[in-house]
Amino acid sequence: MAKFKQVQQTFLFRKMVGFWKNVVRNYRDDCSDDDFFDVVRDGVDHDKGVELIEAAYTGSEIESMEKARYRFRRLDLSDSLDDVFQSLWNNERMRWKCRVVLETLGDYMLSNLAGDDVDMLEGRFKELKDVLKLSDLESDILLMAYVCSQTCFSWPCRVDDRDKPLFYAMALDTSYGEVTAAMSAKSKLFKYNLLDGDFDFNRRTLGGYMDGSVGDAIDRRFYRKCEVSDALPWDYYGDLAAHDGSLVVRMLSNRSNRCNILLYGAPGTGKTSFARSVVKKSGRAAFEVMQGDDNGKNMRSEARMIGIQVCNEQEDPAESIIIIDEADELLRGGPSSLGMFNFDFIGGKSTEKGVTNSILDDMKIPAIWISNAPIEAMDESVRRRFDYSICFERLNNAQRLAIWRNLVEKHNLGGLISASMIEDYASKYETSAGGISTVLENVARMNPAAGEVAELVAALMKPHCMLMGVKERGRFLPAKDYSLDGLNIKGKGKVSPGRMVKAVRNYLDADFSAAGEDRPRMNILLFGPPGTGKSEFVKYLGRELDRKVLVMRGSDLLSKWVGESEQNIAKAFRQAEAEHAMLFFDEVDGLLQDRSNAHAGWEVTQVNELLQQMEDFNGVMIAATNFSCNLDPATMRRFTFKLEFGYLDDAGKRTFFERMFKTTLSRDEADDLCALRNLTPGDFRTVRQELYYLGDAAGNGERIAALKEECSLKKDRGEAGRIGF
Amino acid sequence: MHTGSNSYEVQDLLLFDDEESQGSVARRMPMAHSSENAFEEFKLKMVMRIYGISRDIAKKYIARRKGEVEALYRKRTDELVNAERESYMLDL
Repeated sequence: MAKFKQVQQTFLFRKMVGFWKNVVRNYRDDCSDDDFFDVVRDGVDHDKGVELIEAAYTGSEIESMEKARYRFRRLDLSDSLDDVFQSLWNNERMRWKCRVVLETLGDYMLSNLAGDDVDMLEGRFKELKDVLKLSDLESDILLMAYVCSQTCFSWPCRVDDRDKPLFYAMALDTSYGEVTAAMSAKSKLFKYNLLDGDFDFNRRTLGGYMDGSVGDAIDRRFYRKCEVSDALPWDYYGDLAAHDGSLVVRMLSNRSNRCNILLYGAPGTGKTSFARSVVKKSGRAAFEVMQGDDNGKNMRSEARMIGIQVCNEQEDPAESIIIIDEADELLRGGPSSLGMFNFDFIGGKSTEKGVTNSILDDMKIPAIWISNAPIEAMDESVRRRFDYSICFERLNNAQRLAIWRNLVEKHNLGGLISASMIEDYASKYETSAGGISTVLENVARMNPAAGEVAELVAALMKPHCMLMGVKERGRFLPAKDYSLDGLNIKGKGKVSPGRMVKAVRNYLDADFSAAGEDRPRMNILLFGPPGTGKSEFVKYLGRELDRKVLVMRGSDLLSKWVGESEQNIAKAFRQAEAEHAMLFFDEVDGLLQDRSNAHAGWEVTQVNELLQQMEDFNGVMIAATNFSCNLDPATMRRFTFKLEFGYLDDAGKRTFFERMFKTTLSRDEADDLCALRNLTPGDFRTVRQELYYLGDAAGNGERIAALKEECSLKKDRGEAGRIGF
Repeated sequence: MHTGSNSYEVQDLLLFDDEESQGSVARRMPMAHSSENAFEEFKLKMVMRIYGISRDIAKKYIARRKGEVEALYRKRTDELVNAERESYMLDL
């Protein structure tokens, strides 16, 4: 809603008339814009203006000007004063008289604006000058720019942007060289974004402050002291604190000059909280650059940039750290950068990028910059100015576990949420620290009974995960009655499934670094028709080795944006390494297609990325496919083990039948079962579920008939379907 | 003597929507309202400066020039009235 505000403007008009008088004194050319004389038209009664003209000029001079041939020199004293003075000014021979009349009128108007009161604007300019340490000239230039934007002040002719310093020099009655230097791209006026690229007053930076719609003192408006006594304990960050954290604290320990630290990565990964812990550990005072003003409005990048510099000037470099949270826009190179493509339609980006770089260079106080933006959004020249950077990946299982434990303790829920429940939640809900905190805070507030906590956590966590687009991960465990018995698994060199499990265990237990050897790869390919038990085998492997299995499907990795699928693949490998998990790519044929059939460049780069990651991966990677023939030929040599899961043999069929249906087969029934081709473990499970839901008591005959029906639906009929020789 | 905000009227009630859209807060210069004597003093000094004359001479000059201007306006008014009368008679 609009609001009215009474503002005292004496200072503004006094300055305006002063600047205008200087232009009158210094400008030597014709006046093509009568707006230049609006000051007189608005500020002086018409009759008084004419009275002065009639006193200054003789009767014959006035008469000759009234008869002037050219319209813009022809005088008509009944016109408004702006037109009258334009005519007088443009009569070059008597311009000197016009100048004296105008200066007299200027003095007359100033006498009306006299007074000792310091109005709000005057106070604000003085404060700005003191805080930003502006010189008298810089302050006057800024004031001139403000006058141009806020009053009826106008130049006597059309002024191009490149000519503005010349006209500013006229208005300030000072030398052109000095003004040009003070208005250069490296000057404070541009560094602080006080002037825009056209040398005009930048309202986006300080408009509200100057006009009085924002009431804070300038330093408190831009930054504030940040309390870090409640920051999370250092040990809480584990490896992060031990490695990156200790290095950062060491860098900060005896620095009283430039030290820019960048914390970047996905939102909700604990960057801000880590920054606070770093500050606490370093023993310095933290100052936070404001993100919004008192009215709850977001502050513009320009205003935040000033905040950084004001804090940099005001606080003690040996005792302080500046935290600049949500620095995405600042580091991208200004608000004109649009979204992911970083387009710049107004052409001011280089100046803004220059401003960012210059601020990074001029920092006296160590600063921690926190950004959620992808690293590619930052210009290379900005990135190279950081002394140290830490990438925060999405939380891994171990980190989530630590957060759950910490927050359960913080909210006094230890008696209600057991250690095993915490482990379960950490692996099931891949949410951020903020999400966990919100849910537990609400759980604690509802004061639940012991029996209803699990249900309550699930009820609160599910919508949160849905809202945040986070997938809930179920436990990747095999069926309770799963066994390797009966499976038809063929590996090269008689690698049985049992030996396979042992081999992976050997790999995980070996200490290759102690032996001074390179860690060999452990990439396993499982291939064979659908339902032959590949995924179930991976679950079994995870359970036997007590390792988390990180399952990646096409929906987790493939993106519509070029290059993002490759990034997702790289992230998956990094995540598996960080969580010490086995990485499982289900239906890998979609990711490792033969590159000779590729239609687009991205299809090739995606395969290349996956192959490269497989080469470098320090862990167990398992891939499963129904179509091994479609895989890129280069992939095969990268798999240490290749296991083929075939259709069940006769012994396997009997084993599965008797185990799944908990029955014994007669000789005839066994013969009937063995006559069925292409049976898989999956068929037995399907038939068991089908008969269970139908609820009828079924004998072995019905079960075999149902299995036969399943087989008949398969495209691949194996030996039974072969035609010819 | 005008001392700032007391004389400001409608133009001083500024319409604010938000920080960015305020635009100009005070485009118009407030009209000067000093006493007649103060204005005469400014005029006198201006004439002294233009013609390089003393205060007394300037006063006399201003008075004579005022007479000239009044005579000129009287003449112009008479001419105008006569022209109108002529035009009126012609219409009859």
